[in-house]
This record gives sequence, structure tokens and C-alpha cells, in this order.
Amino acid sequence: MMDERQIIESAVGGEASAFGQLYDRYQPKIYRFVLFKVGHREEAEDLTHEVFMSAWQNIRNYRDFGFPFSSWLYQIARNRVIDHYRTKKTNTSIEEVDPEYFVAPAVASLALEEKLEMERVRRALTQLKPEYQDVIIMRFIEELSLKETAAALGKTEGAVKLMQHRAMKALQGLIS
Amino acid sequence: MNLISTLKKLRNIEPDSHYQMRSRSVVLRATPSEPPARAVWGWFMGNIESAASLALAGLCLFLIFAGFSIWKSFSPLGIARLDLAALHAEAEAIDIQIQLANLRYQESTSSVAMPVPELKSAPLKKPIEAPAVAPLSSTEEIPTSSSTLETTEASTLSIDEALEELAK
Repeated sequence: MMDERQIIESAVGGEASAFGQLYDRYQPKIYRFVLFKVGHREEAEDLTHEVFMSAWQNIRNYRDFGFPFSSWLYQIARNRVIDHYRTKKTNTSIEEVDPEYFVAPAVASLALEEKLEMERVRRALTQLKPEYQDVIIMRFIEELSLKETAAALGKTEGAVKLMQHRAMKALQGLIS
Repeated sequence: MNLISTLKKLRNIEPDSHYQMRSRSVVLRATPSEPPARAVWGWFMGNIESAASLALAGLCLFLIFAGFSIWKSFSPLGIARLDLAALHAEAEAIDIQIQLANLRYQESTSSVAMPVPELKSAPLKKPIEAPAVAPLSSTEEIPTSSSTLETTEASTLSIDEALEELAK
């Protein structure tokens, strides 16, 4: 069994199966990140597909600077979401947000009360500033380390800690 | 509501498996692009940039540490005159002038100020035992300016008048 470093090296060398393994590992995370940012399942699917297509096409330019591979993918995803909003030129209203993701098997089995709580939190999340959304998704939903989050956001670990504190405070304010 | 645990539950949201398979196969069928041909040029330019920044930093340090010496030697403004011996001599000269001015002031007040009996018990200020006013010779110690002023205040009619005298 290859470790991640070897898998990445093989993928950088152009081996499609190695990139396939990376895809399987990181695609759900990137999908959720994009989904919470755009709020529509179909748009999230399209953007996630573009993120991995772009990553695979530019894999030879990837350089290992000691940051996790996921941070590189998150950077691409963030840029794709920014481009998406720039070209779309519309704001997503809370009412427009697609609740279809609740049909996902893992979520469908949850109790109604839990689903409602999740929906409230998710709606509040969409009202936060984009950088607050990023930090909450990465730190609390995807449970990335401070180092990974800092690398993905292009900030220092101290700045991420501070932003995380402010983001949680803002989210709590929106929910209560 | 426990916010953090609710946030963790959001992790259960997953992409559709059919979409996942379809997207995966499309992505992996594409071919990765070749690395840019100008990589060598980029490497060269990167080295040039690093060397230029190091040189600039070195120049800044040189200017900070050695700049004042250079300025002192070549300045057209004559900053070279700022040597300690000249400054000391100048300071000494200023000090002497002040002492001479005090001396003249002392001489002028001694001829004018006469003790007025009713002002000796003035409540404004307790008079200091003034030394007997006599013309000072050059060898005598010059009194300090504060004691001279207090003596003068004690022997004049009022502070306003003393100020007027001083103004003259």
C-alpha cells in the first residue's frame, strides 16, 4: 500500500490511477466545501468536477512545499467558486438554496429534529462572510488541521485561529 | 443546540455516487498538460530576482552603517565641524557670557536696591538673608542667579515693580 506522498509523486508523473486514488480521497471533501459555498447541488457538482479536472491537467506543476495535498485542492476550489460568482453576477438568496442534499443516505437516516438543526446551521453559514465560511467548513466540518487550513487559505496559523474565533461568534449570533 | 456537533453532522452530506463515477472517469480520461517550456527561463529569472534583492538589501545595510561617515567626509554642508572639541569650546564660551551677564545684572541691582523697612515683613516671600551688597571684584565668587533674584524681590516694592526694573 503506497503512502500519500508516493501516490502524489506517481500522479505528478502522469499516472492516472494514482490521481484516481487522490480523487476518491478528496472529492467528497471538496464537493461539500463547494456545496456549502454555492448552495446548489448541481452547481456544486459542476464546480467540483472542474476543480478535479483543473487539478489533473495541472498536476505536473504541483510542487510539494511541505503543505498537504488537500490545501492545493482547496485553493483551486476557492478560486473556482470566486470565478463562479464573478461570472454569475447574482446573489444566492436563502430561499433559493437547494435542500436536495438531505436525500443523501447518511443524512436521510437522521431524525427530523437533527435535520432541522442542520438546516438552520447551514443557512446561517451561507450568511457569513466568505472567509468565515471557509474557515468553519475546513476546521469544523472537514476537521482539517490548523496547518492545512492556513495553507489552503494562504494565512498564518495565528490568523486562522483568530478568524475561527470570530467566525464561530458570528455564526452563533446568527443562530441565536 | 451544540453548534460544533451540528457542524460535524454536516459532514454526512455526500455527493451522488452516479455523479461521482461519471465525473471520475471523465477527469481521468483527460491528459495532464505538459510542464511549461519556459521553466528554465523562469528558474533563471528567479535567480536574478533573488540576487537583485540580496544586493539591494546589502546596499541598504551599507548605507545605514556607513552612510553617516561618508556624509561627514563629503558633505558640502560642513557637518565635519561637528567634532567634540569644537562643541566643547563653544559651550564653554556660552557659559562665560552668561556669567558675565549675571555679573553686570548684579552690579546694576546693587546700586538701585536699597532695603525698605516696611517690606522686610512682606508676607509674599520670606526674605533670604541677603549678603551685604558690595561691588564684586573679578576674583570673588559670582552668586547664582536664583539667590540674586530672591534678594532683589525682597528689597523692592513689589513683584511688578521688580519686573519693570528687569524690563528696563
